[in-house]
Amino acid sequence: MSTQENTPRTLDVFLRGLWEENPVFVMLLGMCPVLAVTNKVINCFAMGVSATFVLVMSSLIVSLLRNYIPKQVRIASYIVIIATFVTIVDYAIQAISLDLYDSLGAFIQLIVVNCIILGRAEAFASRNTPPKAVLDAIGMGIGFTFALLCLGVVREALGNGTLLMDTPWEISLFGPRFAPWSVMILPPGGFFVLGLQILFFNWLRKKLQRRKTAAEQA
Amino acid sequence: MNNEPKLPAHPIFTPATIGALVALACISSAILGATHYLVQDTLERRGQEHIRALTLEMLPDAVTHKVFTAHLPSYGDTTIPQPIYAGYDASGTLVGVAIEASDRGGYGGEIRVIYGYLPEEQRITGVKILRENETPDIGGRIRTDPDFLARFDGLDMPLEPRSMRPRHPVRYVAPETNGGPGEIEGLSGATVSARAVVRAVRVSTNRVLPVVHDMLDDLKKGDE
Repeated sequence: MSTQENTPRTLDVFLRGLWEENPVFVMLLGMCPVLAVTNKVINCFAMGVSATFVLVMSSLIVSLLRNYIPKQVRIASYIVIIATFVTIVDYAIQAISLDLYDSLGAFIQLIVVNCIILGRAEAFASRNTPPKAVLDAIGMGIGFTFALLCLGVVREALGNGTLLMDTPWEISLFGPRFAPWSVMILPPGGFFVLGLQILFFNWLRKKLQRRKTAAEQA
Repeated sequence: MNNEPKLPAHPIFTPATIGALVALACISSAILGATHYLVQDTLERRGQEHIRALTLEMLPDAVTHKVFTAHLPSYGDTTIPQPIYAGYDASGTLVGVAIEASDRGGYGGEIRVIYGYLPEEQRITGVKILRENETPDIGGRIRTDPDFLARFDGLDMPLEPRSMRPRHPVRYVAPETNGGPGEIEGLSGATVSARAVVRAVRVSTNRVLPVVHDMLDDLKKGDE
């Protein structure tokens, strides 16, 4: 995927993660946290920021060390590097808010084995220079956060009638007479919303592609 | 950029691979040690604030708190440590204790609660749900239904004089049966979750309250 073109342009490296190769909607990676934590917007935000931080830092280190890590032990080394940053994030979230830490549960620790991060380390950071690896990581991280928020906004709005619940900025969307659609905050709601959004984004991508080809032919 | 791993030609146990892993592990430990050193005070303070807020919430007359450890008897001579949060009023007199309890029989796994207990009056002040993973609007009503948890408020918990165990252990009864002493009416449609809450409180009061009364002098003196 990324190695087909040996020297992708810098801006493309960044934008790819946002749209063309969005980790959630296109590559379908990291589905576990995507389905598990997206029942509240604040959880999505915290998860997205944490994963982006770990992604950027570990991509940088993996890329810096790419000529020193022997090939045979590269995956083990990547996991040690990723786990170090995950533990730092874990401490940070505990220090910021115990409630947030409680509601994210084990999913912060599970970033260690998140396939987006391991996948970018193996497929991109270990084969490219540090600046490019960091750009790619930022793109992928923002793409991941964007996808989480897409799901979280819909699920929390329908499932609880609010946005940003459990934060000081909570907004009630439909007034007090709204009967929450509880299935949306339960796991099945995650699958429904994810499926519909993948459908929507695929349709949008095809449409833009067609328009682009039409414009090129004209 | 040819990165195809040729495993047979690359033995795994070589000084290079072992050295790389050992070096990484050392650097990683150093970074984590430093991080922990930097944040440990904040984490400690967060935990203390959290416990303090809970204790004062369960014991409205208390203004300060201290953490004790009760040693619950287990098999043979072994004991299980159980934190006891004692609350004191402005003059330093013991008001009561707050105790955490849990039950794994909820519909969505573990339900964790905390309850306040006044040793002088032998009374439970109330129960608060700390963590539950029940279905919202069904089992989740144990938290949101205003009547269910109110059934624990001011619940008399007289202890047997010798064993110091509750005379009427907390017991679950079906909704709208107007139970006797120690009986808690369930929540229609949320039987499993309500039972789990009642069970958590029953198991904990049976095991912990005798120990609390044993250590009452220490609690009153406030020596941790």
